[in-house]
Amino acid sequence: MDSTQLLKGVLDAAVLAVVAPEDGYGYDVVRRLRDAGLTEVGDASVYGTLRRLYQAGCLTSYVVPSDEGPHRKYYGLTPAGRGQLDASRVAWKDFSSTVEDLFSASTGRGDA
Amino acid sequence: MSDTTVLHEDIEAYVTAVGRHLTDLPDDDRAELLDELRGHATSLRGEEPDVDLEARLGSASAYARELRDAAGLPERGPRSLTLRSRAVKARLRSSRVAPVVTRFVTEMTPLGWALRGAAVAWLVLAMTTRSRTPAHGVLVVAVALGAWLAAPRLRRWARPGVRRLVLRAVDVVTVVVIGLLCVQYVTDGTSLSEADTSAAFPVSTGVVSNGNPVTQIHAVGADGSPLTVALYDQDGTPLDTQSGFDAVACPDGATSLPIPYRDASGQILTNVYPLRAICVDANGAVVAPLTTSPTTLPTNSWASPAVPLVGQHVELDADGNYSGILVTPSPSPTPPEVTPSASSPSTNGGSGSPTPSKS
Repeated sequence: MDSTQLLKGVLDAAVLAVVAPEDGYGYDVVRRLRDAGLTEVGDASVYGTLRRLYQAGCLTSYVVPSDEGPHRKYYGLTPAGRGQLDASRVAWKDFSSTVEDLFSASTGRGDA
Repeated sequence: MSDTTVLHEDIEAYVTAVGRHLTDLPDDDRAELLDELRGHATSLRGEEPDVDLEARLGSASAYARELRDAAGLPERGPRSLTLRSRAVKARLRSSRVAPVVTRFVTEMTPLGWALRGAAVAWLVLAMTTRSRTPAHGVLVVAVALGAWLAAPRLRRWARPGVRRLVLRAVDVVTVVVIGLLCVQYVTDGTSLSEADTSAAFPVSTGVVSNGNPVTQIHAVGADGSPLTVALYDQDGTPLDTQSGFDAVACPDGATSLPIPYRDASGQILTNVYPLRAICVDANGAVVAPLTTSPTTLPTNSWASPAVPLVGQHVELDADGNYSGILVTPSPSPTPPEVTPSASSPSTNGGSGSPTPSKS
């Protein structure tokens, strides 16, 4: 199965999820997603998603100087972002549960 | 050059390349996105000094495309006129000369209305009459002045939707008319200020008399006989009526066929008058004989008075016209008498050779 399409559908929720416990800058967010197992996530996709979520009011941002190079733009969750993350969590549970049931049913029929 | 510099150049080159694919975005947005990319690439390089940016992030175009897709930005395409116009307006508004330009445009607004008025008046006159008189020029100027004075009212009138469209149409007419006048200026080589007042009206490309195009010219000798002549203007340029020899009226169903004169090399002479033509039907059969014009010419003979020499005095008639040489008591050279002379007659058949004359 092409996980790229699946990733597209959940990237918003995934980004909100990795920023929820601790604010992070772009590179940091990419690393957290990859460390979590979403190894195919594209760098540009993450930056584009951060920008879109910020413009939607789900994220807040602030700049922190960096010794290693250019200033870093940190992103943090806003109340609206937290609300969206919660809603995404519920939707994902329903969705994954439904798909799980479908898979289970198909496995059962196949075994019968 | 140090390795660090090379690495930074590498990053800058990639960032610049991505930036080229984002030129349609507002400057602030593009700068923000590129700053983040710069920071990202620097962090990557910090962790993996040998990382190949293109291999890791994809080609610049692919990165920009993915960024747009994820950010919900529109695909890059030909920028619409509206967007470009907005961008230009935004730049103009933010420039230092903006207040000066705004003030200038505001002050020049009445001039725009004056131009519109003059153009419309010019067009109406051009469409309704071919003659040009100074009165027409005065009328155009009057309409322009009226539009200038009424500019504030006209501006308010033209705001609603349909009226705005009318205004746009008038603007197109104005531009076309001004363009035509510019073309006339360039082709004539004379400025409007140098030209006659009526120059603001359509001018035939051929010979014009009282504002009307001349399609045929007849020359008559001193004894009243018709002449065939080749005419040139003050510069020695052949005087061409531009009538295309279509000076002969033919009966219905027939067309005029020119019988032009030719020079020794066979080249058609368009300045030999009167122009000649025959009328032929659709089968090429001649239905009317060779003719030069239906015009009946006066057969009066004419004569020239004696022409005075340098030092002689002239005598004027009651209307102030030259009437002859003033005879004084003192001896004076006898001026040559110019008597009417019969020019070489030229029949309508045009067998006579053209007689060049300077106009």
